[in-house]
Amino acid sequence: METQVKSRKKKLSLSKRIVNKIINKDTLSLVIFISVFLAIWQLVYMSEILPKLSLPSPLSVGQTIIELLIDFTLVKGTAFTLWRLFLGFLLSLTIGLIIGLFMIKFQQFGKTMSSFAVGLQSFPSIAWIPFAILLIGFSDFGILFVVVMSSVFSVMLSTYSGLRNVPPIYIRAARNMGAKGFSLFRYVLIPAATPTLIMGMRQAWSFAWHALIGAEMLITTLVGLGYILAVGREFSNMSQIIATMIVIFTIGLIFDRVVFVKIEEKIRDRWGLNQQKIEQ
Amino acid sequence: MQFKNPYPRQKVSLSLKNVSKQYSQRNSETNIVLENINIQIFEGEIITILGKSGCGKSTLLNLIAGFENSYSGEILLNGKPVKDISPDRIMMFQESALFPWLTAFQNVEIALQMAKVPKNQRKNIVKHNLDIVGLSDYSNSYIHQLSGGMKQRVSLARALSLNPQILLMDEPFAALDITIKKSLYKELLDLHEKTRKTILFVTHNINEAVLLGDRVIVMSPRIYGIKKEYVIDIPKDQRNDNLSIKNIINEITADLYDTV
Repeated sequence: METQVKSRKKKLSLSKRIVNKIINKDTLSLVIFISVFLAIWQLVYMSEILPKLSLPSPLSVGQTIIELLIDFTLVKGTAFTLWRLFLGFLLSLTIGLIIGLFMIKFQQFGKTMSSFAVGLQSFPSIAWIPFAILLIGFSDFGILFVVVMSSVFSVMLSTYSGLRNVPPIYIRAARNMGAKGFSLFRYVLIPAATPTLIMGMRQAWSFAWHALIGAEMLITTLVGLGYILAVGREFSNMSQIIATMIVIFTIGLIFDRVVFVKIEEKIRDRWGLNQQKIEQ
Repeated sequence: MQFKNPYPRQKVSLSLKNVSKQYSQRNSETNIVLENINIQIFEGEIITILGKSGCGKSTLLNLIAGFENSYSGEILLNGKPVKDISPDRIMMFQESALFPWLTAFQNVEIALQMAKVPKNQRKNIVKHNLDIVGLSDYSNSYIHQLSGGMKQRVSLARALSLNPQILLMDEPFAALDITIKKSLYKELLDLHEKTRKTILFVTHNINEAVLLGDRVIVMSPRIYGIKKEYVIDIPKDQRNDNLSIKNIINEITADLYDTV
């Protein structure tokens, strides 16, 4: 049954497959959705319910986006913001994984730490900013600190619960086959916990993203998307604000859809969480 | 208790001497599970242990596998006391304990890796064992793509690939439907014919116990141990629809219900 499906797939030419991939139901509905949204915006703009300075037209926002792209403000801002995001996320992953592993290794510590982590996970990221400014100052490190503090606990908790909830039968079978210590960990515990870990990473990424923009707005370093937003507010430049918001929205969407959803789907497929089985 | 050695020249594989097991409860009472179990299993034999749930048959298997270490008495494998968990006593579980993130091939391969079989030998061993359970065509299938019966066959291939001295089977076919069960009985017996592995098979299904076992050991929760042992000396390929097998099944059924 599987081979039949595969061969049918192969029969489609490459160009047709690409076209099929781009033009499908999902993209079509997305295009309609965005068009309707822009149309409503245009209508509100033309009705002059709101003063034109507070709400620019979609067209002028589009122009601003192009202008900001051409003079490299947006490109530079996006580059810096993404760099900080990657660095902060990477730090969170490393620290979160290590502490999560310690929580598994030392049970009492794990118990105490997990209740702390739950509290800190829901701690508003913006509330870390005054602390970061006084502790570290107006610098990249201050921003990174806020990003890490906002996302590290998700990684920590997902590591902890992912490993704790590995079905005991896998561990039994593996130990029976001779695995212990590191090999048990490497070959069974980590792969078995991967779906939970990926969910935690996705959440951590989104927390890091929220925290980063906030921190860039308040911890002034003269670069970054958050800083462009803050400048836009300073000069009452609504077009610039909306243009930057659109960029921020797009980056978030792309990462979530392209990176995390892809990885999650791949794992779900492999584990058989999406499919029915081949009959014998 | 009657006792007859069906393989007089064979050597003893596993022997249990006065094995007892009890759990201590919070209110300082003890909960006896097994008391004075004596079993001898000869090399190449299939022993089935039959009993209702709660008679301690799974506990017994866990003790032999080394999953639980606190008991009194002696458990000897080839004359040496068993210690801890080891690949020379492989357990097969009721639900397949295969890893869903690996293919059938990789599932068998990782077992060899865990048991520290040299790398250059692994591929051949995996191929051979998937072949003898008839699943070479499904090497690259993920576990969820296999039916219940196929999963247990992969488990069996995984267990056999480690070449254990005794195979412990904890109701491995209990969750399967009757036609698949029947084909697996035949397959297990064929494999046993080829490999002459010593097998200790725990079940609550009387037919299964009588079809597969050289001897059937009936356990009862009331006496925390072995009620009776039946030697079944009818060739295994003649056991279907055999009158004396039916008589034995009736006898064991009466025995089992008597122990409620």
